[in-house]
Amino acid sequence: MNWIKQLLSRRRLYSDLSEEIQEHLEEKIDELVARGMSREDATHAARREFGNVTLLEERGREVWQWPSLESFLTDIRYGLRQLRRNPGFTAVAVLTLALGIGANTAMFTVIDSVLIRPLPFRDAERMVEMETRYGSNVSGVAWRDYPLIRDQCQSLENVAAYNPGSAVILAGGGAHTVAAVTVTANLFDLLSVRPALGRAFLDADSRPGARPVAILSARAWREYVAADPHVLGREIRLLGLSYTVVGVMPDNLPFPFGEPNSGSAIWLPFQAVPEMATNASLQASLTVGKLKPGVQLRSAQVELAVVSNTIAAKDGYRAGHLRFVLRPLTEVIAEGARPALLVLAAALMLVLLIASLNVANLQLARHLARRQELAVRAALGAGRSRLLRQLMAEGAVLAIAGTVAGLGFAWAALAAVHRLPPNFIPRADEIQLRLPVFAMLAIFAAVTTILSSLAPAVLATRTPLEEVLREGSGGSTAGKKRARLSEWLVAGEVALSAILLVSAGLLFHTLYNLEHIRFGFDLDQVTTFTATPANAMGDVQALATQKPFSNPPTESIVNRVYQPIADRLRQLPGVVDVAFSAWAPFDHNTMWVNYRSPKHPEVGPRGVMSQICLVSSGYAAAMGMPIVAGRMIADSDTAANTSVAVVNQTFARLAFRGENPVGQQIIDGTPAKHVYTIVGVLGDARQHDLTHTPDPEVLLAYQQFPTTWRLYSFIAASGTNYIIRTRGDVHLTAAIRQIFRQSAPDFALDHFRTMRAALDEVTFNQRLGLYLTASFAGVAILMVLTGLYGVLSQLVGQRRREIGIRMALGASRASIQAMILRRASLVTIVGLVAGLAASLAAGRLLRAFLFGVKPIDGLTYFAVAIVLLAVSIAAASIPARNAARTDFRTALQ
Amino acid sequence: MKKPDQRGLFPGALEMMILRTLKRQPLHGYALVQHIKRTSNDLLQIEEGSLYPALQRLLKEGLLTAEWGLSSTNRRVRTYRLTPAGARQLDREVSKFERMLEGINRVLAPGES
Repeated sequence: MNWIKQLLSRRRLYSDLSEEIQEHLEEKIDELVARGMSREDATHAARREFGNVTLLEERGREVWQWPSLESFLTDIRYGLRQLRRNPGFTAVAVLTLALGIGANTAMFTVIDSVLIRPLPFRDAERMVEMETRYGSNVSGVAWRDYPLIRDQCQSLENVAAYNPGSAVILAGGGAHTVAAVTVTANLFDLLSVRPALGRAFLDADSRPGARPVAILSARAWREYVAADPHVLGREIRLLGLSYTVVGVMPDNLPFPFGEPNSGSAIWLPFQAVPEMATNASLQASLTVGKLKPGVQLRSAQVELAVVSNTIAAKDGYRAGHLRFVLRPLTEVIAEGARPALLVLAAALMLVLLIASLNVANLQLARHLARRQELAVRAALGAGRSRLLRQLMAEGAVLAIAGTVAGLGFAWAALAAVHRLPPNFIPRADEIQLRLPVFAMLAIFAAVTTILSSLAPAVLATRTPLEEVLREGSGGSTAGKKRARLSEWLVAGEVALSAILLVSAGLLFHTLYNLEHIRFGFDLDQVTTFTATPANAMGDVQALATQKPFSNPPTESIVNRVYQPIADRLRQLPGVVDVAFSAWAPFDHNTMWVNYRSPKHPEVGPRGVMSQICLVSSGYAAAMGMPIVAGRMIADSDTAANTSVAVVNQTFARLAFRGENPVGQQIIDGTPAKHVYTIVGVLGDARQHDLTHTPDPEVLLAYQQFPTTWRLYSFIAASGTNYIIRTRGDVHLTAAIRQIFRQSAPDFALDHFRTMRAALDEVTFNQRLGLYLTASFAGVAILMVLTGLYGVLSQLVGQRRREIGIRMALGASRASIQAMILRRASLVTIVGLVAGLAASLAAGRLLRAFLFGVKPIDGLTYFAVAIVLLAVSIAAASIPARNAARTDFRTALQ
Repeated sequence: MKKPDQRGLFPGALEMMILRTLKRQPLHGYALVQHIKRTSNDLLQIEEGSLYPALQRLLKEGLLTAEWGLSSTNRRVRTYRLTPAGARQLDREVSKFERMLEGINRVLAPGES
């Protein structure tokens, strides 16, 4: 092959070329001598007319090289040699890059694994989620409309519906809460998932009256049936009923998407009741579809519009009132995380940018020191492009070293993440180093490093030779120009750091505010947990499997179980107070009902829309909520007595216009128009939503809640939430479980936590955000410190003669020191002004995460300015001291 | 530092002149330079050395062959010779050049339209 021959003969080609050039020169010299020139003059003349021998010879040789690869390898070798010669610079630059790339890789990996849930399904890109919009109301797709969409939309290959929920399973002598999902039979088909054991659901399983069957996830199979290989056909107790297992799904099936314990889910066939086929307000399910290959989302959307308009016309609405909106499933799942993602990604990019600036600055400083070397090499015939290539190769070597070190750093950081206490980061066990993330960052870093080495290289090679050589022996103006560029770079770093610091400051302020909210109840020494009966309906199969009206229980579960257990809990050592309520603290899933006072018709015909909560006696005492007027619900408020209610201050203000409501009556907005007598007013509390001002709230007595109400099975009999006030920190979990095992063995107990831990869970996002931005800001400060130090050291080195002269003329050491510090402050202030201005925009990005702080927070801005000035003065102090120590005798030599 | 480019030449001009000269007779490098300089009335001030990278390029493309031998003045020289491919390339280049020249002439010709 031609190129092999070339490779082998290349050495000969090269020596041919140099020999030929020698011969050429000699022939010329001989000729000139023959014309009467002296030999010496002739030699000079021949060389002059020939041109740059070395360069031309190299050009001649380049013809035979694969220019890119071969000279690149040479350049890399050269770059390595150069870097080895400057271990200090190399270490700092590599470390900076490693920190930038490593921290970014680690963080993006965490974000990627935790927040952007990958969909490990075949054709995931064709999967869409469908939601219904009635005007501005968004919901799932009504069961009534589902068959129409499935059958009439030709763009969709498949449409399936599901309803995530939870249920209690009785297994191994205990009760456990599991994720229970009702699905249409075709769902697993749509996801392209086949059971590992047994079969998927059949259409027959969904018919009313069909034998109840269930499919287990792999984890549920291991945990609740002890990985029984003969599980098919076995009965399990779920929702207080008996289900036959017909299949087991393979491991790692992340469905339902985004549910915290979907790993151990149990799937049930969705069973519709006839009522659902006609009533659109019944059973809106989450609905997923799969586009046919090659079909655009938009065309499916157009087709759906026809279906929705048909339905709207039938319901008597105008066209467009009802719409079915399709969105890519991956987008839907990442949606909740998007704002956090944006902020973090922006913060990370700032860090990487600062790192790049820092490396550029270091490169610049070093290239300035090497300008003489470069100038001399250019004078000796090195082509300018060749020099640039070499300098870029050095940048590439740096980038590679930094990337490799960064990979190690990222790996270490992720190992540390795995060692965090469980539940610190959700789904931590799924976090793995993701190569695409790393590759993307490495490319970014490589480009910035190489470009950053190019800029100084261009500067260094463009300067006229004479000036550079002169500069070696004395001061020059060109050097100052370069120093100014470095200062601009540092100012840029300061600006970027200021943005990070302001963000961290705002989040810190937010967290401080969150921790110091007047909650209206106690956080310390209060423990809560939920207790769910085995037949709790939760939200699964609510209408299909139970008939709430047919035979209401004669005795309320409150009197049968909740209250006796509370009495036993009160006997435990260390317990001060026990109460139970329908909602857990910080639970958003509350219930709203209208209440009106007959004496205040001016409030409006429907009264005040209020949260309702069922509570036991002692609720206010256990929660530590103050009773403002009247009394709390008491044990004596039984079903036999008048129905009582306790309201909060907000309700009293809105429904009674500030009048004392104690003793007055309120009527609810249900068709039955229940009447309650208000016996007390509680202080406002933020037990549901931390960041909102308290809503109007009406507390009803648990034991007065009638079992004949349709809502009884939903909010009374579907479990309760115990609140236990203790004396000091006592661990009650084991004792509580013991009591339930004896008195109510088929209750599943979950979410044991102190009120403080519950709060921490609610503020998790803000805390994570603060920790991350604070650590980014820390890295940024470190980089500003090194950057400024480098620039000022260089400046002092350059101005040594000037400083010497000043000192010889009588400048004091203190004034020299002040001069350097002034320079540093100036650079910092320029950066600060730009950075704080840019922070105004960054604050807007953060707005969604802030609480009690405006994006423009004077205190934060002030603190950031102080911190950065202090850092810059610290960084400047060593160069300043060195400058002041200059001995003018040696400096002027 | 002086720029090594052939000042006043368009790209490929040097190669064309080399091929044209060698078409008449095989020559070694020094003789080739002298010939080009002489025949162009020193109009083209090329650095003598810039000939060599060009020769290497033509060698690599197989338009020339080179052979060491002795010159008439008994000097060890490397003589370049046009290959058939080189001759074809020259024809192509020349016709291309003439077309270009014709175009330039038309534009520069005064008073005609």
